[in-house]
Amino acid sequence: MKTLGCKDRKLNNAGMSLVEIIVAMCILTIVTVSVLSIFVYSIRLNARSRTRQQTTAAAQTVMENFKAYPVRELCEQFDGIHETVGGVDTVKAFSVNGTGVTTQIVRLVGSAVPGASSAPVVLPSNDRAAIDALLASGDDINLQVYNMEYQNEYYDVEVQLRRHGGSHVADMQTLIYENRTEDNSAAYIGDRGMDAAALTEIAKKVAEKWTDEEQALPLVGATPAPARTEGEVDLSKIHITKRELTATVRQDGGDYVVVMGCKYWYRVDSFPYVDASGASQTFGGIPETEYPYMMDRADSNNLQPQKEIFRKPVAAGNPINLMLYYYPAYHDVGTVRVAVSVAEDNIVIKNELPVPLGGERPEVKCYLYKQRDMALSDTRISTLDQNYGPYLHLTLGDRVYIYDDNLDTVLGNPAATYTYDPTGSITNRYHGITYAAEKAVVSGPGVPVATPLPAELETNKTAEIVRMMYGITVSVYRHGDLESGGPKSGVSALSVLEGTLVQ
Amino acid sequence: MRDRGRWHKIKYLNKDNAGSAIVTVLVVVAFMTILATIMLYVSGSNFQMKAADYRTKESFYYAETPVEELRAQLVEDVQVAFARAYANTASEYAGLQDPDLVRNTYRHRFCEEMNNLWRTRSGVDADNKILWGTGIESVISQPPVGVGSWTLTPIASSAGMDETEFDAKNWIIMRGVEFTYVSPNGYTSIISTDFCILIPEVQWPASNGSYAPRGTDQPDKLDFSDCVYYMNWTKK
Repeated sequence: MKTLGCKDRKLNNAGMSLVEIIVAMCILTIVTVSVLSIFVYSIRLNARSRTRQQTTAAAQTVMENFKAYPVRELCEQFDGIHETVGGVDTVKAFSVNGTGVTTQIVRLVGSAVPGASSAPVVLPSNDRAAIDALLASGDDINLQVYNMEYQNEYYDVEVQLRRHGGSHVADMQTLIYENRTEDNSAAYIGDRGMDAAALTEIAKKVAEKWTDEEQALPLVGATPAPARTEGEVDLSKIHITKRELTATVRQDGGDYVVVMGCKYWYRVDSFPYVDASGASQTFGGIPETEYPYMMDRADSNNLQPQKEIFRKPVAAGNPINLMLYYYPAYHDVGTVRVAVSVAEDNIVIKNELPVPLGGERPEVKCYLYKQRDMALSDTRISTLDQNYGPYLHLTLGDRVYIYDDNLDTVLGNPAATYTYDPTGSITNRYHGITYAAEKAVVSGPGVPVATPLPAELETNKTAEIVRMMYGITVSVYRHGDLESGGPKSGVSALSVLEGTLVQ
Repeated sequence: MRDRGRWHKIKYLNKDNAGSAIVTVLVVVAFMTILATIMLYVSGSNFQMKAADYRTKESFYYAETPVEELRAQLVEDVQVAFARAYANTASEYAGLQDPDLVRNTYRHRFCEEMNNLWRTRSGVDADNKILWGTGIESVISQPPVGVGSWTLTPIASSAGMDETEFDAKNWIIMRGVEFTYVSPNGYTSIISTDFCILIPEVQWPASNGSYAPRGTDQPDKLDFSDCVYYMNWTKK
């Protein structure tokens, strides 16, 4: 029997294709599942990248938008403040990319006080007073934007404005003030020679009194009646204890008028002298006496006690702005002697303008400067000079505000009198204000103490003070994740950028 | 005979596709794996780039902080210098008479005051030149712990602010301020700028003390923060 060789034997491969295919499919399935999971992961990664890029760009857009505006402007835009522009009622509204959005301002009350809890308060819309209070408080501000469209996606954005922590610039403020207009005028009151002239005239009075006293003595022989002159008076015996410059603001017909008057108070020590007969006598001295100084010396034959220094037509609603350059009454300090020593310097400003029916007395603003003495250093009345304490007393009438330069308030509220203490230290830019607040002496019971700063938050006032620097955090959330009190619980921002905002 | 054998072999080979499925699968798997690997790599790179972009922006805003702190300080200095220069000049305006002389006196005094402020703040070297770096570092603050740090590139000392454009442009310049910020994860931003300080324009009274009507080019308001701005600002 012939047997079949290997060469001749055919393998029975029936069903191998099926097995092969099954095995191949198993391998393919396993690998495909793995690869597909990688695909899915890649797709998710791409989606996250896209979200990250978009939200970062959105946050940056909002950040740069905010940095371009003053904070007040931002709040007014968020608050939908109505304004009349060109006779048309216009609403300022914040928008990003020109699309309409819903916005609100949330104030974190008490956040400016360390340790105080902040109860969020949503500001009412179109309420400028609420914005003023918010900015003045120093509390943190949350500005919330809902349904903001950016690159065809919708987001909610929260912008936090807070004091820039950790820096001394955090509390810095800048002034915005109006430039002067033609309503302002200036006048020199007093000059270098005024005290010396007053002393000479006082010496004349002393000489007259001295003559009278000497003439009252029993006459010795037929000598001419004694007549003392001011040249014989020992000026060192005359002590000028006080000088008072008074500016009175009144209405004269259709004009506002300011007149200046001046008084000196002096006393004279007793001193020995030799009378005409050669006998030793003693002049009894003069107790403290008032001496009205003639301010208006234009006509030497008709000296007047008051001098008009300011006149302008009455204009309803406008305050009177008065710049006064006065020559201080200097006094001896330590071993330094001045030509004429005056112990006390006073300035009184009275507002005698009529009060309109149902209205308030017109306001008077004085900017007070010292006339510059080249031997001395500074023109601010609150700064120490070599011979000037300053021992300046200011007494102001109703609705009179006074400044010791063009920016700072010395006295904010009228009807108060205070004295600068020459030993007080001045360390910061607002020294005029803090100085007044610390040293104010109320002139009588029930009289309000001077307010250091007026509430300069309206743009039509002379000066407005705004905080200069804020820390700013922009957080972008998915649409619907942001509520008034903050993000929903368990939700975190898609993108957060932190920076600073300088006005 | 031989050709017929070869033909049969070829025919046999043509019919014998055992294992072709596995080969096909291997080819497809290899292709898909390569594709997936490339996709993963590209997605990962893309994500890293976006993350880097975010960190860069974050780093930039942190780097901007000391620059803005310095600007805020300069705005404060402008106010002080302005108040002093204005008061000093105003007390003498009757004697100065000429309006141009009054204005120039005020402008020069303003520059003097600005330089004096920085001289006091910064100190001077042996040649009486202002040590700007010392003064600037005394003004800025470091960021909170964990947010990185910034450093100031040394600035050459000088007699004062750059006044070369004082007459032509009514400004003085603090030059060459550069801050480098390094974030905790190593991202670095460098901001370099000059600070241009405009001398505040004010309306001066005439010699008799009265003010002329405000001209059309006279600003209604004076905002001191408008007097300091960046010049030649660059970010690296």
